[in-house]
Amino acid sequence: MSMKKMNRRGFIRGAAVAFGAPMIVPSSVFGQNAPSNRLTMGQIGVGNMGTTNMKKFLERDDVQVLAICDLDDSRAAEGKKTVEDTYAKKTGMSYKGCDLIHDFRELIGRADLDYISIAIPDHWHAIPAITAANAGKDIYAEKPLALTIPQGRAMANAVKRNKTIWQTGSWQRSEKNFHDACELVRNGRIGKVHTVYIGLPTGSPLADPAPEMPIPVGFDYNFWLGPAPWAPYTEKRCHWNFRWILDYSGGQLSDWAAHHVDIANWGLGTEHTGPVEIEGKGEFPRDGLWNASINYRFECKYAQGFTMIVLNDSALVDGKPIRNGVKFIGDKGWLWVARGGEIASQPESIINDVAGQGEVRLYRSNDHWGNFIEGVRSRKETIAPIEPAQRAVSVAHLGNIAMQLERKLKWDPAREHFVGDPEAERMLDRAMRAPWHL
Amino acid sequence: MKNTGTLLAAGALAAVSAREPEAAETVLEPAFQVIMGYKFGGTRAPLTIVSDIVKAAKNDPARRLAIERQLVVLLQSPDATYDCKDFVCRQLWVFGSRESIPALASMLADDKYSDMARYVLERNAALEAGKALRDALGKASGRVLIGIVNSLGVRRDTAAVPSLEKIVAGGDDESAAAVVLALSKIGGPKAVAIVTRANSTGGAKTRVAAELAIRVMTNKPAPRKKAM
Repeated sequence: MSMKKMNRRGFIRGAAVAFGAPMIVPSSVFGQNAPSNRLTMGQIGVGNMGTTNMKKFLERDDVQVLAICDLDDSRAAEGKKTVEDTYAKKTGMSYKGCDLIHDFRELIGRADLDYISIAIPDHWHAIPAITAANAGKDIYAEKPLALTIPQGRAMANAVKRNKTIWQTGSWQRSEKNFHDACELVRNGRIGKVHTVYIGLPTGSPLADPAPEMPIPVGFDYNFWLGPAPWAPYTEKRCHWNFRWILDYSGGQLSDWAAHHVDIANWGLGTEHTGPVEIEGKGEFPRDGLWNASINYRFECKYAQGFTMIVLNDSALVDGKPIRNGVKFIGDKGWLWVARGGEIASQPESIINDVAGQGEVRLYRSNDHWGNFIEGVRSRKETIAPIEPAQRAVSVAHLGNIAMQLERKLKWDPAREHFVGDPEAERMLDRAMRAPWHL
Repeated sequence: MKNTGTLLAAGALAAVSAREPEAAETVLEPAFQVIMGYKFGGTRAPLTIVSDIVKAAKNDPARRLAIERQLVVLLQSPDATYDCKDFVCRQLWVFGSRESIPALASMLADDKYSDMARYVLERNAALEAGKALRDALGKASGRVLIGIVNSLGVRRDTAAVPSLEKIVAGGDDESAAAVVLALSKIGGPKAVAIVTRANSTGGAKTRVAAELAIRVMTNKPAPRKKAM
């Protein structure tokens, strides 16, 4: 058996044969998880978040990473080394068993993978996710869900039709303070909520010139562009920089709305709907390569009777910067929640007034990646299923469209279409460069 | 970011603002002349000025039409750069009317410009946009044809079904596979019949696509490898 082609059953045995180790490998090598009980995964994208997520799975004894895929050969090689070094350390033997695959379709087509982890630029989220769902794979996928609302809906439809176990990388849901804040709001501790502020990072312009550059050797740039419009290569476009360009992302706004709008929706019980009216102003760079919004502030009115105000974190609210986080305001007080375990309220007693018998108890997870693995095994819904991810990122996309058109928009959250605004409706989605499609 | 391009464009904006809408421009207004030679890597400021002109006319249909005609002149000009035409299509994506459809239709079968033309036409609800895409099916092949097929699928263009059926019968496996997936979006009894037939008579890629298309149309899940 080739070391590169080993399946999970052959993993330990193969390593033992190849490196002269005893045929019987102690169960402690992978904890109490026999190879046949391990879930197998493939990682698509080994940049920043892809590597972070993959390491979370590599830590687990009940998971085995069999293959990775990246369009940048140097990143792919680094990812492979991370996998093999980790397993070598675990087994105490040299390990060569992580396949490098260039094309995500080949990785998804492998019969020996239980699930796929996806962490690539936003303009590439929909196609691999739908392909994986249609191939019967479960999926852990980075946020924000999709580049456009129709792309996100197509993903959600595919996931639901295929009964895919899906976990969005909106890991704040698995943090105690966010969970508790949402549960307190759901149980009326601050009364009827009329306003929720969402503080998100400020965007960034690119003042420096970004001339066309030679495509680096080992980087498949045409594939990287994929469904996005063709554009010349420049390093300020690719890898992390995609975040600042509207062809590939909705900017910091959509990246972080996927966290904080998601939390707001969780607390307010609006995870399966959206606003009915959107209006605001954004400052978009007037020159330079990057064109996503820098400063922004827009208001979303919900049929449930509250207003969601989304703004960049240096914007002032009551004379002070809103900061990065979520502030729920009700007729009996307010509640603030942010990263780093922050939770505060007025009156202060609210945060200790935990849910009692007969009150709403929200889904609880203490380990976002572990919760996904549990879902794959049990076939039960995860803490961050796909529909809330769609509704969270939709707010960002709606805000971006309203700010670009500079007018109030009406939205039908059930149909996911604008009401009476054909121009806004066009901006909902974009044709994909051939031959790509959903 | 102030430079020559910005100043030129600012002057052009002032000149344009002072003008009355014209019935059918054949001579480019100054702001539009400035962007004709735009190349990626240069300042984007003149493009932003044109975007501002488009936005400023949002409540003036006559002015919008005049602007669209100016943009069509750029689309048809051999002197306008690829990057200029790309920008023009991004503007028409949002506000293009029937006026620009003939110019875009003439770009559809051209490998260099087909994607940017589809960027506009796929999202333009006018019936003429669908007709332009259908008419281009017979003039395109390979990647370009697949793109047009994909756009017709996104538009759920039922009028395209007879033309799409001919592509399936044509024998090119990749194009036929794209058609089958487009038909799964369009739906309807005729589409179902074509997909079903392709599932038994098509090439290898077509059969794989047809199997998926049938699952989509019948709302069936993929066969799943059971997790341990």
